[in-house]
Amino acid sequence: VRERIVPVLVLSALLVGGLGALLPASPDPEDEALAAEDRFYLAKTHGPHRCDVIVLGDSRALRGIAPSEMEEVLPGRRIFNFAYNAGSLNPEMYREAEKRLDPRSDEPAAVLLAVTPLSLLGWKATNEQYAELRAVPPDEVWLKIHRPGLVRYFQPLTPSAFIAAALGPANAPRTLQTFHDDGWIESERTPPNPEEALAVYAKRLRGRSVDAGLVDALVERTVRWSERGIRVFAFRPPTTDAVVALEDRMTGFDEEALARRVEEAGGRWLRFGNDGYGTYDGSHLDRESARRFSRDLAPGSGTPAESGCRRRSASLSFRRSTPPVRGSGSPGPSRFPKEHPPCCDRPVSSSRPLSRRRLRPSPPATWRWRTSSGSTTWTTA
Amino acid sequence: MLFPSVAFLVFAAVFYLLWPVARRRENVRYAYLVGASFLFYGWWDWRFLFLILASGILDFVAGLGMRGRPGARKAWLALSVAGNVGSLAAFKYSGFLAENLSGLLALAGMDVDLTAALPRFVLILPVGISFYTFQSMSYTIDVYRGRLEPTRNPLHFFAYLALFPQLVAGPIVRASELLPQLRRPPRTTEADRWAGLRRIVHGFFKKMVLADGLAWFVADAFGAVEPSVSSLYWWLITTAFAVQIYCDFSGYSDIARGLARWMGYDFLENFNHPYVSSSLREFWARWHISLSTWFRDYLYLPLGGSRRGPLRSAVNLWITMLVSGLWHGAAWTFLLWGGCHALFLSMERLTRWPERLRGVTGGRLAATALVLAQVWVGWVFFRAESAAQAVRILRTMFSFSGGPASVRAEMGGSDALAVVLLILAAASREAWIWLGLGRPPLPERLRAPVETVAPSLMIAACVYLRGPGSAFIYFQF
Repeated sequence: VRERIVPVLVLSALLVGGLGALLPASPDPEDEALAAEDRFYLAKTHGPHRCDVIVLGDSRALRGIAPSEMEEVLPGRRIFNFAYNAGSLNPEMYREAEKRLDPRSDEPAAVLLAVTPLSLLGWKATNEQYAELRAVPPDEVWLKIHRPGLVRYFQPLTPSAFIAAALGPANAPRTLQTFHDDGWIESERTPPNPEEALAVYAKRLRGRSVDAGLVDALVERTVRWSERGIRVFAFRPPTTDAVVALEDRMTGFDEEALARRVEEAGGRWLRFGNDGYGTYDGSHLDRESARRFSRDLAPGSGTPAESGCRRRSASLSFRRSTPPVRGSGSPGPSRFPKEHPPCCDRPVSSSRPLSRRRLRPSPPATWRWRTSSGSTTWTTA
Repeated sequence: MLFPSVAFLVFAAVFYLLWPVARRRENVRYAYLVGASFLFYGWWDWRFLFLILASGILDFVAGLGMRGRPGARKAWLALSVAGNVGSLAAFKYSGFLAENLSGLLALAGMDVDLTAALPRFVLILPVGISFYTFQSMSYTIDVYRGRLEPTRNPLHFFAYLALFPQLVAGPIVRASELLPQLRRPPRTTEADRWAGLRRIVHGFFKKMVLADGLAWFVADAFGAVEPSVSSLYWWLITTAFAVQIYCDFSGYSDIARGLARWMGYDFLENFNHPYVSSSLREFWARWHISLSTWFRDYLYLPLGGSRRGPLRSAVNLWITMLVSGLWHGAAWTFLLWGGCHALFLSMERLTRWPERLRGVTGGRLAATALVLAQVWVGWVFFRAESAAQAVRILRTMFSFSGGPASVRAEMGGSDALAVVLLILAAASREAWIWLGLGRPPLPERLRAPVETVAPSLMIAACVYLRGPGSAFIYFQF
């Protein structure tokens, strides 16, 4: 027995250390995107963000509002997109959003509420994705954000990925995502499928209606924020006319009534049509439309600041430590049939399986750095 | 602190490095165990420590009170039970009770939202509350029954109550087993450490590779807004969950036992290959043994057990199983799970079908299959998000519609194959035990090298074949 414990530990160390270097890269093309996505959501949730303007909402806001574009129209404002997949507009998210508004800022604080019927459905009020992300232990958050190379080295193999590779390549459409440090996910689909969302929503909204309690909570919070000098701007983010009609019919959402209540509560309801904006799946804005919409949204939601911005640096700052990474992913049925964008009204788990990919210390030769809108992004050459 | 985490790796390394020094003197040993265990538990949320402290102080004082004033033993016991059950009721069941009472009042035409009236802090479920309150209660009950001499040393008591390997998910170690062990200076031999290491490695393998590997698919199936209508798919998913919960929980118990062994303490076996059982009664003698025996000794037998005739025995069985269901969680699904098992056990007692079946050729195999089918039905209730979902899934399962093609359509061929492979990996060991094959037939000269290489391969598998989950299922109880 005496001879076994030490050999087991030594052999294990050799195996673990050696396998990390020797194991082949995963054949799963989603890995890079998933790892980047993991880092993005963890940093978004756990990062010490301080801003003047914060955006709340679901995936339509997450993918449709680009703070960097708004900041160009509103120079000096620090804007942060705090929307999540399947995000609910509820008291917990209001509290969390408020914590991120900088009380010491000279700029007027504002909350942008991207209201969709889906964000007011009672069954989603648990904020599954946000709750999961909040529950990630601090050591794991630190490792994933600050030591992604180490995490990648010990990234596990996923049996499904290898079996899938052996069975042949998937022909599913791909979703391109670029993760921005201001909380925005720039999204595109190849090929775009404008019919997709309608069918999915029709199925998922069956028997579900807008929760009156959540509507009351929104109005009540608008009153409280307005009284404290925090400006509230609410709006329905653009999508397609067909989705709007479907959502209104199935959930009983009354936009006009809510707009009236928000205005009475001291907030301001901004109106945008769907014309002029394109979606990649029939629901979420494609990246160009998201940029355009963000520029359209900016003037309504605040006046340009008189003085320059005052940014604070912190150890978890997006702006320094996590350059956004573009990845491509297949939403096909082989891996995440019910969880993946485009129709992000269900949460995307932060802990979903990633298959192992060898550490890539520097960008591959076919990639180059590009700087756009004040933030660095990956893009293919 | 989760076992499969970097934080625990560092914690365990430091703890075992200092343990040989700390264990020598009695009070230093207790203080070291209490301090480390509180750090381990407070890592989740330091505020949880107040609850375990309150629960522990109450039972420690109650123990001393029973010894000091034997005439007031009953009052002390009542106080202890009320305190423990009260804290469980407040933190675990208040939301459930408020919700259902509100529903009842609504039926009577009164629109009262009792849930909203609850203070926010009681809506937080402290990790492992059900385990340590039961452990704490066993102390006072045993002192009351005169089976245990209460300790006068609060550090000794808290070292027992909060011992970190078993604090949050068992096994529920009785005070009569652990307090004397803690008092003695612990000694470990090389054989103990080797056995402990093997236990720990097996536990991590079961948890990280098998249970976590399957967790994703199970969560995806039960979380779907539109559940699948394929019967085969649900049989596969329910089997996956049965393997997941077994590997998850028995994996935790193995790690706990291994860690205790490294300290020089011995915990009783908590799982003994339950899926090889050929009767439901046997299943319960092999599944979560520390909880089953707790309910037997502190609930079923005090109610009268089977001494007062078949009807009273059946009633006692139902009460025990329903309380066991509620112990697992404050939801109707858990109550139904307990009810399911009570029903199946009652039918088994009434018909004695396992004994009859085992008498015919192939009967043992058929009996095991029947037991598994009943346990699987129970697991559907246990895992479902609601009773309605459970009923829908069971209807689908027993409609026997949809073949392998429907499974491929539902989850993709590669995922289906991955699930099957993980299930087979877990089932192979159980099948070996079921067949009674004993130790693998290895030549003696190969035994040592194989027993050295196998744990190393399992450790590497824990790193490179680990699944995406992390928290243990039983933490929520």
